[in-house]
Amino acid sequence: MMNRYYFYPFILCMLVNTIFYVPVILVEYRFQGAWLAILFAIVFGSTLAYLFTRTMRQFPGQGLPEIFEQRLPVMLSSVISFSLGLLWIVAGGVVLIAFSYIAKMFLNPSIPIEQLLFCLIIVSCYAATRSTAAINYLSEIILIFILPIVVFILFKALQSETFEWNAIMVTTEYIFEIPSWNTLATAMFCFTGYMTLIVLNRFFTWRISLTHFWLVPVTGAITLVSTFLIPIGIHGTQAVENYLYLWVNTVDSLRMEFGFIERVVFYYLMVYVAVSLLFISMSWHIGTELVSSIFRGQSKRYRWIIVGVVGIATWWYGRLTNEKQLIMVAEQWFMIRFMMELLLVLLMVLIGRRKQ
Amino acid sequence: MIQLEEIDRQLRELSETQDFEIQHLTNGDLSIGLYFYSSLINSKLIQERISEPFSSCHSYSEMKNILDAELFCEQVLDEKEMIPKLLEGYSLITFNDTFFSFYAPKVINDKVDYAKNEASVQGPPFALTEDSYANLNLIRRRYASSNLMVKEKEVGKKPKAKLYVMYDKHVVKETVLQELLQKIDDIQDEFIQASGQLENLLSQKKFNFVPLMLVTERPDRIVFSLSQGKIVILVNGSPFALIAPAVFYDFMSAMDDRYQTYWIGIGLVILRYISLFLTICLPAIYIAVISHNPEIFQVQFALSIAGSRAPVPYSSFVEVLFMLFLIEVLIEASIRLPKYIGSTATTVGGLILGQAAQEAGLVSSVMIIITSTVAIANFVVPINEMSFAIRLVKYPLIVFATLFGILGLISGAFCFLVYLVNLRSYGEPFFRLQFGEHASTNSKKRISG
Amino acid sequence: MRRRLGVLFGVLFVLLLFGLSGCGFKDIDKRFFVVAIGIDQGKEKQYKVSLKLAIPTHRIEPGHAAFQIISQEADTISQALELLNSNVDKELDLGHSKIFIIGRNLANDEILTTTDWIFRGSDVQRIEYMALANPSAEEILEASPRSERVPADSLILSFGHEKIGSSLAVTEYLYDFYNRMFELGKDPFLPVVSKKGKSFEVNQVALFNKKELKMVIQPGQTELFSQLVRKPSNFVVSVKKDHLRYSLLIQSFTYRYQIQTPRQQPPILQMDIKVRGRIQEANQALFDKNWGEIERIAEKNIENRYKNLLESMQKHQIDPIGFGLHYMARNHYGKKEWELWQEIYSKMKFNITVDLEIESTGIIK
Repeated sequence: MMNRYYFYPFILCMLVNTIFYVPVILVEYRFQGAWLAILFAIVFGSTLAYLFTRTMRQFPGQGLPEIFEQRLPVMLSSVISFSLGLLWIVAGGVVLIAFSYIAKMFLNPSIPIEQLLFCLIIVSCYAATRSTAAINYLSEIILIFILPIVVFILFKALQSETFEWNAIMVTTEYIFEIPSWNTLATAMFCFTGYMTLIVLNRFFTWRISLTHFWLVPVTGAITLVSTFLIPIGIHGTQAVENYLYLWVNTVDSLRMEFGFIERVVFYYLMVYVAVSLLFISMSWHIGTELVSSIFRGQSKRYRWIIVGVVGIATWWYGRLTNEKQLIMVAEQWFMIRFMMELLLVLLMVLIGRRKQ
Repeated sequence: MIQLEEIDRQLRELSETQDFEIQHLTNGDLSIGLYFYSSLINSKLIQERISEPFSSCHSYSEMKNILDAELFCEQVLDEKEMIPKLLEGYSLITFNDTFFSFYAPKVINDKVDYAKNEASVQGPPFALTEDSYANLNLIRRRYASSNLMVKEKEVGKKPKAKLYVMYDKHVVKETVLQELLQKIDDIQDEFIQASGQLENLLSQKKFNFVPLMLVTERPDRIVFSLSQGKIVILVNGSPFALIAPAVFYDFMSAMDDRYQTYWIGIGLVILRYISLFLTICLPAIYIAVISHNPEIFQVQFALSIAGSRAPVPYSSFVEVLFMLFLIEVLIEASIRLPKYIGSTATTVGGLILGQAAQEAGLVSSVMIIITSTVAIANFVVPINEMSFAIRLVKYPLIVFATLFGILGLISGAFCFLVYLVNLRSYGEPFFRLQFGEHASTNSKKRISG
Repeated sequence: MRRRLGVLFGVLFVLLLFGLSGCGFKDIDKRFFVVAIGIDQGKEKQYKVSLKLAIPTHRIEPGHAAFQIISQEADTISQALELLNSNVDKELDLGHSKIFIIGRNLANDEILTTTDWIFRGSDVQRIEYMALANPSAEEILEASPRSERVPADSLILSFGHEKIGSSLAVTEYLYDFYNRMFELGKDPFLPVVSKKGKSFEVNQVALFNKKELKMVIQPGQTELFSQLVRKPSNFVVSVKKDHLRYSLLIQSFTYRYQIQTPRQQPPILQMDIKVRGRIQEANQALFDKNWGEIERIAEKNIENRYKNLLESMQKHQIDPIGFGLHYMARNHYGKKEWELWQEIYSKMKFNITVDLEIESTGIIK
């Protein structure tokens, strides 16, 4: 049963994709191969996840730095750790800035963006410096509270009286369009949860069982398809691409007449404050652990310094950037992540072979 | 060999206090000396066991036989033992230059009384006493197993306090036990009177505000914890026991949950968690909704709150802090006050003050409802320690909500969760969900902790 | 020593944070809640924006809904709002606005530009109701029926589904109108609110093509239209033939349709409607008669009325029900699908069959 912790990072990455501009990008390519990209992503994503997990479970209780220590030259392992760490730090930063824009738009229109960034950064820095086990326990508690609400929102969206199945059927006409690499990389983000194992594997001191691995493709497929199709069903095939905060607007189109809170969007926003914070904390935790492993310094002070630098950098970038740039950064990030992930999985599979 | 002059000197020193008694008994053939604190000694026992046999004794060996045969009577072989023994309730018998100590304590505070802090509906009604022997008796009677170990420890500088560390040697985690014993040995220069005090000295972190050891007065909870492999510490003179390691759920569960049927037990736990949520978050939610996001609730609700707040000149967080301050003062006052005045204080404070504050336009009527909900919900937490800690948590959340509205509220709650999740109580994660796996602290599956 | 410094810094930090607040902090009693927004054509400037503000009261009672209407003319809507904001003593809060009304005069080819402000703004709900006002939005906002508890309550409730049984009002939401403005094969519509004495009534529907108002559905057909585009609610059908007169309350309504494109023949829209109803009034005892015959009379009646409605919409080349989307969802001809459909729609024949079932004749025969 302790194996359940393996799935939380997956679920977290699937949930956070509505903040991370995944549906916006997919919807943009709805006539140019988004469907096939989703299909490929489900297959490739789960294959990569499966291969990676199978390798990592040969090293119970060890993170990537520990595995590399005896098997790779110091320089190479430092470069890999640093770049992967940076990748995750950037992911956390993008989500943080993206969510502070959403908060500014829909929750606190009159608070300056600097202060919103400050609030989120302080909280995430605090959480990111906690122990790996703490991060795992935290994600479990938060997800247990959140998942019923998310499922409820999905259900509510499908029940909406203006939900148009015909609009979805129209997009199926373009099901066999060949997707661009970009779209594919974006769709693959849903399955990137397994990458957290590079650090979280330290928590798994036992051999991870893969008997319930089928949950990954199934939930991934449900998430991807619903995040892509529900906005189309509600906003139609054309107007859907005009929305910048696609999912916030989609959820704001739902009403719960007899609910304590009438506008479903507030449930969504409240849930996503927690989801974003959790994702940022987890990604920054992974980032700092990897980067601090380069300095061979396991002291707490190193982590605080790294997290502090990351926080200040994020705050600075968040002030300077705008949504247009941020979406571009997100798209680039998906591409880089895609390639790095492929290389990493390849490397790990080789290391795993050699160990046997 | 015992040094007579040294003993003589010590006894003379002791006799300076008025309640130290020196008696010389003679029966014609023999004479013995009796030394004891009259305030600690049950004189009837001495009369029965020592002076009555003595009066019919005629030879030295006869008397020695009597003393040797007496339970709780032994020869003193080291003069250093003497004073501690006298202080514990022994009386000293000098007899032909040999010294015997005879245990005849007068214990007044070993009467078992009803549990006051952790009352229960269906559980055993009695609580621990102030006397450790009585407590050990209570516990061992319930936990009839030879695996139950009792270790006696003395801690602190003079005067030393006596502790009893109890555990079931088959289920206890050895590492946790060693860690705890080491910690107890490390304690210095404090005079320990209460279990809570000991807990503070044992805790790993300096700035803790959530208790990591459970303080209880219920023997049934102690016995239950022992069976789960936890360690129980009794402090002599304190009617409370310490239990370690403890997890969050232990603080949220009453023993009654276990005595009810399954669904009622679960329902009660859920009720407590909802109350916990209310007492922590409600003031912060009020501020966030009133001052940052009034569009969350229905328009009717917003309008009626706005209407009731119309005469209030201060912003919402001043209103909230004012009202919460009043209620905290009220709670604190009614704890310390004698019982009969206590109820008057609550009436005056709760009913009249609240009503008047609202009519005077200092606070809105919704705020009164919130304050009372917060106060009542706070008392639903069954363990007092935790209920006190929880009282504090709402204030940081108020700060967050004042600054950032709903976003701040959730961020603050997130921080609190992170704090809890990162805590460890003697190696055991303090706050996490458990299902399925071996529950080290509870036999039922549980919601959280 | 270090510890004390830490505590001191902590306290200072909190004080600093409190200093930061004040930007977003605005108490509920310092805000004016806008419950309805109306936009008309201005006399001097381009737009006239009217807002219905709710005045907070301690007690909420029927007939005592306190409100205030403020209006302002300006060339853009945001300008008007800014002027309005500076005219009132509290901050305007659009978060609670539930209905957005456009004056009839503005329903011209620039409607998308006019409404752009409301679609773009993040402080307005997406689930806001939208309606067309006849004659002007301001007059509709001023109307306040005596039963109102909260300002604009009755206006909002006449659209909401909490009021079961209203068949005449068709709801349209902000997001759905926006959707229909862009969607190929599904055209926008708006319910029309018209003034009636001190109150108002909602019994017409305005249909748009992507640009402008094309036709208005009149009360006799509104309920039919509402059954087609929204979740069904009850409506009454009155039938008269020879000596027989009776009214049916339709309680269940389902329909499905199919678009057939046979070669060399005009395309056909085959629509099957299934209705169940209860007789509400009749001029004679019906229980012992042949229900099948009675049903047939009503079926004929409903068939004709639907045919009229659909044909008149076809005549204006508008398609609010989404036949076009339905067609495109099922036929895959790539990009030229849309042109193909327009041709089909202009030639389409409607073949409607109604299957009516009388459930009961009430509590008397």
